Amino acid sequence: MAESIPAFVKRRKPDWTALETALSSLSTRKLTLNELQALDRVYRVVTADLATAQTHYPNTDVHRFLNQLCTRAYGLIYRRRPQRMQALRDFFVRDFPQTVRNSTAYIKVAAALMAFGTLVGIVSVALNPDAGLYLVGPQVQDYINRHELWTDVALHQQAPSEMATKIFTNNLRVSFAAFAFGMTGGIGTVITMVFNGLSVGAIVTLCAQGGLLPGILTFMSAHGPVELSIISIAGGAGLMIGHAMLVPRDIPRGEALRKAALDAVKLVIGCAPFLTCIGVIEGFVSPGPLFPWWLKLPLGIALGTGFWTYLMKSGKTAATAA
Amino acid sequence: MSDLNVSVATPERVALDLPVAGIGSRAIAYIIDAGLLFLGGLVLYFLYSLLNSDILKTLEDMSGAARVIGILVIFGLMWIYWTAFEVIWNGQTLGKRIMKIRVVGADGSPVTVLQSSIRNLIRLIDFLPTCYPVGLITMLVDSRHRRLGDIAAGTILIREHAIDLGRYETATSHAAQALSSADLESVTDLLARFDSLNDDSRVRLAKKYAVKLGLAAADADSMDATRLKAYLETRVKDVARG
Repeated sequence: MAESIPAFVKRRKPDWTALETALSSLSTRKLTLNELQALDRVYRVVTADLATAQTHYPNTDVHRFLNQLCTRAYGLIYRRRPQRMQALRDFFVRDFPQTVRNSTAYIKVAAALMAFGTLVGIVSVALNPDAGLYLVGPQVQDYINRHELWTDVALHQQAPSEMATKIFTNNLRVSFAAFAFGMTGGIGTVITMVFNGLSVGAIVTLCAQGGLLPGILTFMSAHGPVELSIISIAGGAGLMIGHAMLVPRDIPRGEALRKAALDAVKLVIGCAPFLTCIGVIEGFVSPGPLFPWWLKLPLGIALGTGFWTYLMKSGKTAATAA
Repeated sequence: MSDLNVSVATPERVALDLPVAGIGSRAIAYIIDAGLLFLGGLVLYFLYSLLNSDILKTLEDMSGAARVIGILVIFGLMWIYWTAFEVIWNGQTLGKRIMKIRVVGADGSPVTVLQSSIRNLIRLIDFLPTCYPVGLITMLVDSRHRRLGDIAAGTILIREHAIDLGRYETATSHAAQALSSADLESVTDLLARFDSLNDDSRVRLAKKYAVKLGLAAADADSMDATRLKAYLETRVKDVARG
């Protein structure tokens, strides 16, 4: 027969108080070696007390108290190394590019989906210009009919950067949707990527039919390469999540999803600052004749090449060493 | 521990039970935090209005890029509120502290900077399209009441109890022998909460345990709440003195 609760509490309380004290000081300062050894001993003893309480005094306050105390101790004792600013640097130098390299298959599929959408957009508008009305907003259609590039017109109007905001939030929305819709088993991502390509293809073809092909290509040249890459990466992240949901392979579905989600979130977080920078370029450099085409085109190529060189090369030596 | 629990196996070969926080307390904690953020925004707005008499016009005149930056700054500030509090206060924001809940890793470990960043970024998706329907549905479906952000970050929310072991210390060995540990738990609990219970329940419970402690049933029937409480207190706490 086990001893009574009061006797148990009375006998064991000093150790519990000692553990509480040790844990409080552990979270505020470094412990001395002696304190650490004491903590080790007292933690083991208290976990044994918890086992006793589980057996003899289940669902009592003693049990709850010990459970809570041990949870706190377990968390503090077995915690992973703390992360600092170094972690942020490591993330962009190593983690993010490595994750991109490991996910190239998904990113390629996402890019192919968008390319497919673009192709469909081009072909359908070329065969039937009315289709453009459904694929492109009536406002943009209006401009094209007037043989004006809305991105230029926007500059002469009262709220010139309204357009840039819209374009930027649209990219943010597309990237985010492509990623988040991975949770639908990837179906939403596929749809998002194809439709994004579809509208790009339709707009370009409509512009070409309106004699605005050089204009739209110049507009897209500065930010296009990096922007489409980022949207593809976000789409790849979504596909990764969807794939893990549908085909978890030899681990439980939840676990597969958790692993994929971690990588996918890395991709999205990594893309965020680049998406912001490219949004600024799209807002200020791309529209209008402020910058000539021979400046926009090389800028776009340089940014695109730089972005992919960074993604393919950064942190590679560290990866082989690790 | 009748409510939902998650079991964690430790290297010490004892299972820890993490009591999972319910949707209700999480929602209230969120409302408190959101209210604070709103108040903070209001204060900032009024402070700024001291400097600028026509804010609406300024907003209208802002360029697109400035608006984008403004939106990012606002989201960034809110994200910093959640993440900074969760990291510094070990998994608690003001609202969570008031509701006595805490964000921890799936194994009860303290939440890390990365985990907190992820769950608060995905807050955006959980919020979609407005007022957290995505998060709520996920929490209802998930066995551990996690929203999407928690699933991606590998975190759960747990309840914390404020437990006073003092009531055991006043109990005597005599009472401990007369009652099983479950009954002793109930009697000390009853005495601690005696004044907050309604009269019917406390008299009924007090009579039950008084009889178990050796009082004649007829005597117990004739006592009112105050005397029953006094009787239980003497029996449970003071027998050791005699």
